[in-house]
Amino acid sequence: MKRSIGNTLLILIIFLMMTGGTGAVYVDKKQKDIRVSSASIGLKVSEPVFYNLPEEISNDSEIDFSVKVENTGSVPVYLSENITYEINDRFDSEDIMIEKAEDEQELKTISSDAVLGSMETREIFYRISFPGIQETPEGSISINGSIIYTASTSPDGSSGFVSEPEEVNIGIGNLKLYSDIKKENAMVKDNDTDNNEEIPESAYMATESTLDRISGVFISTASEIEEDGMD
Amino acid sequence: MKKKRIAAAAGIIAIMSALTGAYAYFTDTKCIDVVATAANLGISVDASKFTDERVCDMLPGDCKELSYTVSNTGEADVMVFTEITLISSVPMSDTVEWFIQDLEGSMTDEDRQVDPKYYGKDFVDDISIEEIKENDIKFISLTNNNKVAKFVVNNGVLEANSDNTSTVDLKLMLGLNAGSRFMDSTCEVIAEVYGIQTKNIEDDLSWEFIKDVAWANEDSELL
Repeated sequence: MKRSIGNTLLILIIFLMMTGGTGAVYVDKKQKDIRVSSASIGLKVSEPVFYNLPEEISNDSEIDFSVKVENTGSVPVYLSENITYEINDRFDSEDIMIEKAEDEQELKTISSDAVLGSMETREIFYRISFPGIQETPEGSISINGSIIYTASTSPDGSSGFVSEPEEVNIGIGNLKLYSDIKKENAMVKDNDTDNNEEIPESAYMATESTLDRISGVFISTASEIEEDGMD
Repeated sequence: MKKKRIAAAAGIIAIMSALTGAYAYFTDTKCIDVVATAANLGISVDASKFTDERVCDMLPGDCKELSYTVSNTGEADVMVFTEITLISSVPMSDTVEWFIQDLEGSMTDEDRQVDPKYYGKDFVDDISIEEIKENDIKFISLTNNNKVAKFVVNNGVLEANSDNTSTVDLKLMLGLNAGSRFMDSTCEVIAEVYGIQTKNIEDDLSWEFIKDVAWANEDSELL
């Protein structure tokens, strides 16, 4: 019995060697591997920082704020933004404008075709102006809006990577219309001239209550701006 | 009875003597011999320009140059082929986003599409050496999970006993069709360089057979 099993195994081994071969062709092999990484794209945005917030507003009033945007990705990106806002829950807000501005130290703000380097942070300044506020009925107004930032690796975002949008809420409540100025401004508008009327100082002074009226941070001096880092 | 047995045995001995003879012929012998030696086949690869640092932070449309140099260190001519495996951390589409390209950019978008007959295979089963010779780079297969793509690069023939080396210049590309899901992703690139004897090779020798032989050789070297 044992002999027959041994013979069977021997025949099997010979058969396998005949059919499979044991290196009938000379082959040598070398191997090398590497790991490729694609770029990461991402943005980190701060809360808005307000620098002035008048209790009462006229058509010459201005509210300045800034947002810090950091490119957390591994490559430079083009930054785009989309500003949307409504006044007193209405979208027809032509009387109030939110646009980019240069800060008092004449630092250049980022433009849509500017490149934000990897891990670079920029502070972008905005100004809210009220050129047509006299058209708004007396009372108080609130501004609710948002700025949506998107990073892309191509100028128009049509190719390459595009980041997830990052949204910053801009909320200002209970802005009172300054009735006397409102009347004067209405007259100026009728004469089709620029309005350079001085605004009462009290209109630009922020009070403690302003903190409850904004979505963000209030900083009254430029020195505090520099000390305040991003969250 | 006993006498009969003795007589039979004597008869058998007599018959055998008659048949085989008793070295009645003169003979002489001369012996010559040779020692046959098998050729030594071997390749070496310089991969100093095939490194991670060259291929980081890739964007759609980017191409990064990679190269390696193959030398014939043996005593027989060798055909050199490279099987390049790309393992993407995110699934690729039918027109693979990660791919390799030659310097001339001869690989078109169509060449990056999975041949239906090879779809779902993670190795090169039926491709013959002759087929591989027809192209410089051939996209072979994409696995079912769409993460592993295989390419074969024809590196040509390196003659033995010469200073000939073959430098293979490749571009690793992330296609423009790579969407944002490829952001912050990785792709492992494995280059397996095979040197195969050129003589006495059957045309229909399959790539799978070549790989099996190489694996068998590796196993035998470990023993």
